[in-house]
Amino acid sequence: MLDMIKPPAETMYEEELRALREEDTGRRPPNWLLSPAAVRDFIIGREKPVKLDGREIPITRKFYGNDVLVERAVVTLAGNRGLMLVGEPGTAKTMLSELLSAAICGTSLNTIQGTAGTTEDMMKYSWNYAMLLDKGPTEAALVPSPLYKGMKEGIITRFEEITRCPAESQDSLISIMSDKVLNIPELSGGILFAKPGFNIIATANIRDKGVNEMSGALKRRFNFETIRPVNNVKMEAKIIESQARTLLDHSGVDAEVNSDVVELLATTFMELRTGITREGYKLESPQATLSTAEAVSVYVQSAMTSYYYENEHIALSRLVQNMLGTIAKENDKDLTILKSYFSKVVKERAKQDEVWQAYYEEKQWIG
Amino acid sequence: MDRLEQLTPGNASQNEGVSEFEEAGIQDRVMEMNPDWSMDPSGDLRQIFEEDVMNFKKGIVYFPVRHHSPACSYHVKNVIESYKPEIILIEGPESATPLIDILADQATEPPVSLYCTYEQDGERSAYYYPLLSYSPEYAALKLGTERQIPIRFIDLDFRHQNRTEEERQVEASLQDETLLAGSEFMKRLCDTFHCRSFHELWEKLFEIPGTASTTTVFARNVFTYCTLSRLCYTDHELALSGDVEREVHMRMQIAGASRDYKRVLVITGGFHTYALLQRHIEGNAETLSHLSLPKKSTAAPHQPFTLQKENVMTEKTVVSDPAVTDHQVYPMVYTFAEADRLNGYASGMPYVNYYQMVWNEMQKHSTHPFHRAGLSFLAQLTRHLRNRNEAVSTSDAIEAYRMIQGLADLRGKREGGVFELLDASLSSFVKGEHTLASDEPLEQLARMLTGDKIGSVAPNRLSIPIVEDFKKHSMVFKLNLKVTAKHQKTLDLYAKPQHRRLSQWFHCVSFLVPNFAVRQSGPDWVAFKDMSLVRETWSYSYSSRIEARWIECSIYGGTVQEAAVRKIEQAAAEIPEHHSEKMVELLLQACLMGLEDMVHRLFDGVKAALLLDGSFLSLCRTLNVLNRMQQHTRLLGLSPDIRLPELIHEAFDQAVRQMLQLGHTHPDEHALITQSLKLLFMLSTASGERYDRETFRLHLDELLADNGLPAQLEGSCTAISVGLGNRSKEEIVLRAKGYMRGTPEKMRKTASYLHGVFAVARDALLYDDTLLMELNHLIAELPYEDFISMVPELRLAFTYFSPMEADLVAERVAKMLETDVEELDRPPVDEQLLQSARSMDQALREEFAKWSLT
Repeated sequence: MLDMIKPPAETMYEEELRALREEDTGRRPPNWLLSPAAVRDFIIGREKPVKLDGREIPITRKFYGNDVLVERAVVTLAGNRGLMLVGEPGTAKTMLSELLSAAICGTSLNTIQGTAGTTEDMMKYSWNYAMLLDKGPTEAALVPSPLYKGMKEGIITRFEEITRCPAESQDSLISIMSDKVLNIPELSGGILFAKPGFNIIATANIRDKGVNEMSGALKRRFNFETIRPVNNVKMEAKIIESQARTLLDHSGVDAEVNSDVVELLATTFMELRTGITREGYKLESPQATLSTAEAVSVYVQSAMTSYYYENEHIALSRLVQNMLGTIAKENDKDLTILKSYFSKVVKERAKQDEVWQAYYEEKQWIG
Repeated sequence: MDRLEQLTPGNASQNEGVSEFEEAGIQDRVMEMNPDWSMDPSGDLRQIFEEDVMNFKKGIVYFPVRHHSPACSYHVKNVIESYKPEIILIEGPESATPLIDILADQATEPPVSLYCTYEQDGERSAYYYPLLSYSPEYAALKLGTERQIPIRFIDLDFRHQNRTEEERQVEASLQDETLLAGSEFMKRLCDTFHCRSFHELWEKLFEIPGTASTTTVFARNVFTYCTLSRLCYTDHELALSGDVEREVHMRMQIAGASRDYKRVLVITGGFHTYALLQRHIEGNAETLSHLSLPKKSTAAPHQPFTLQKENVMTEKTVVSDPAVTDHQVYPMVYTFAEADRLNGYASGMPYVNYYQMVWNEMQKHSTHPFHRAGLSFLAQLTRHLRNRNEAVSTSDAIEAYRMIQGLADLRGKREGGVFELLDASLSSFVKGEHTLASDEPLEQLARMLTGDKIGSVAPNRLSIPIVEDFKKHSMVFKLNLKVTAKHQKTLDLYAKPQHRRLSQWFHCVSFLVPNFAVRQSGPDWVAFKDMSLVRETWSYSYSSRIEARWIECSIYGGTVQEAAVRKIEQAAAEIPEHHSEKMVELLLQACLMGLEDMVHRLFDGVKAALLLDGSFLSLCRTLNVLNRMQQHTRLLGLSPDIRLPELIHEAFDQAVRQMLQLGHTHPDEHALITQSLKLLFMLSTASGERYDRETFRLHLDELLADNGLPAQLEGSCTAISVGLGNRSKEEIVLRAKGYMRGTPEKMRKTASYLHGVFAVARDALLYDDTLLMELNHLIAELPYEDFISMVPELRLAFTYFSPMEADLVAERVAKMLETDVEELDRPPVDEQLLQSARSMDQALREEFAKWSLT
């Protein structure tokens, strides 16, 4: 087991990346470790495994959804403009950005984590004041930011949650992105030219609370890709299952992932999110964000609680309890919506299906 | 090596012309996909191809195509030049063969179409056979005609009867490729090649590399691809789709041609090529038995497609369908919008305008036709968006262009095609989240990729007079029939005679072909609304569907006017003879269409219907329309005619005659009857007219003498009688009193009575205190429940008063009650007071409860 809660993509898929690098003979943009086609294959997987040291390494699918979007994203990064991934919370924007970064330049850790308190200094560079006082403005006294590092080394800089940063900080990116040059007036001859291979992958949440509008000038320097929630129950169940398995493994919880329960959870989330049941009946949608990531978290929480307290793989009672906390987060109305979902949809299905029957019996937790 | 040698498989070297199709290892993948096949089918297909399909040494050469494919057209032209066939056979409705010279005429400009109609089992069916300039069939027609090679269409004229009801309702295309595109084989190929759809796959494998590969390799790939797709279907499915029946027919045609000509070139959809091969014509289908699926699969309820003898319909089984009658084929225009399969017609490729540009580039021998087409569309899109004040820059277009190339590289395409263009535009032009609000660049691009061109057909002996007449008039009126967009015309109806004529012509056209022109604003004579407007606005949009409707209208006559007259006559004949109301509607329509002769003929029809009509309401409605026509003769552009006043008199007399039946009518009709009585009253008092007022009076008296007359009608009849001077004003009050002071049942009908009175004579209340006092008395006396149930009708009755009149009544009521109007408006108890009393009450109750004093 790795000694970290969440290993970065390049560590998690180290073998796959190495195998692809060895096999890949395609044309690569300057300083890229893989050709665009191999980057795509790494992210969406492929049927044919890759040989590495005499072994066959399967290239698994890591991002589910729109494959064409991945192709566009890769080609964007090979060009002059940055890549902006936008979409609702929990649609795997960050994961895609990590995977792209890990495949293109071998690291997904060169990241600016945007917050309301991110300043221009944090984005560009700051100073080690002790050294600054001691030696004056030298390169040794300069504390480089991930952006600085990306430009200097010709690698990708990831910018998480760019819209959470104040607009004036965001705008400091504008000239850097067009000129690919960073001026450091404090240093003599202080001009940092970006090395080929440098680019920015930003992720942004547009609809969430507490985000800032991006300026038109900044928008023009990015190609936008909108990631939508998965709209297929089977696919969503697959994502929940694989991610829950990984997370439980990392937490040392030796619980099997129950695919029936996963499908139940995926169906509930999708129906409440889209406001329509699989039979075509209309439902009210809660205000809370019902992303796949939330569903994974509900499953993992439930599995862990069941594992420690009930000594079971997963108890439906725990699932319903955790779901309650996720769905009825924003206001009381959401709770009523969940209740009516149980008393109409779940109840109806309970007549024909044992799993749904057991699910319905846990309605007591909702009140 | 000359061209012929290059094309002949026997002379081609082993490695020559290996296409991306083969490089991609498609054959291997096919095997991976279906290991059940007993042997490598693609290897066999290669052999079949070399021996039977493109063997120039044989008397028949087959060229498999996809409809509307520029790459196929490019290679079809090559084959014709190299093989020099003595005859060309094309998959198309056989009875359209005589029309080939029209289609290939210099003056014909695609998109054009053949329109085939026939009657089957008593139902009228119609099909289109569209041809674009880059359809391989059209390229063959053009080049063949130029080289003076005889050309024939060899397909059936009609489609199979087993179509679903839904398919029957939609006018389908004769080039349906649902089976080709929908096979399991295609779906798996799309997954393997990372293509989102059949079209992307086709473009990637055939269109883009098309001009770079040799004709033989290209044809072999199309043949392999289509045949493998075909193998996914069972005989049963193919027979159901009607394909087997058509193929049997085509085989017969090919066999016939091969007896008369030494070099026959057969151009059909690749899906059919396999079934048409000479070996099947000659009947030695056994040689193909190895292509059947293994026994495990053949045991399935539906037999898979194999060309074994027992599974193939033989020529003898085909007889021309006796149920198909009245078969006709016409050449007609077609539009890009309709040719685009994205718009719902199951034929050919999407993005018609894009491929047109690619074809134009191919014609110019451009080495990178897709590249140039993409560039041109990006430039147009940027310009268009900028004109619409969207935030786009040249830098966006440059980025999009770079992305087209990058995506093409990534996807292993020689050049970026339409899907790369779409992806690049999405990434580069859509700023922010991609939602409906930010979709304008893509919507505009989609419109541009489809295009709005309408083709034209050379003048010909088959020209349909009504279509020609329609087009001639369109030209005279300066209507735009060149592009499919919606156009508008605003007409100054009464000031400009030319505008009046166009309006009349639009009315004629809309009557015959409802979807061409729609009146958006202007005076509405039928509903008698917006009569004060002097301008009329029409929107119109032309398409081949409209032309098809004109062709169907040709049975009515040779010109638009003739057809309109004939159709009105037919409609008039279908109206039951006593429905004067329907007849007069037709008369009004004829007036609007400016068909004066018809109008005069319809006068007779209306007169006859009036005599037979026994319905009071219908007669009054007829009277109403006739009266309007009389009042607005000049606006309608009618020449004065003595018969119109005569008709009005006749309608009046007939209506009065039917009045006596009103005592026993349904309450739902009372409001309409009241209005009709009012109309009669109005006409009978009109100055200068001599209507039979006496009978009207007598009949009113007779009605009023009837105790069972419904209250509302009693109210109107009384008011009218008073108005005619037949009775005194007091009678209104007297009868009202009768209701108000009558038994509770009668009292409840007071509002209804007043409703009838006010509809005709509001002054009875406005200037007479007696009725007002009586009404006040009634309301004061009325029990609460009865009052509440009466309120809706009372309110309805008072709607006849204008706000000012209502204020006047209120003032008089206030005066009568010795108070002022404001006092009347005030609620009896103040809302705040009520609330505080209620909360006090509640507090007291709670206090009592504490002391257990409840």
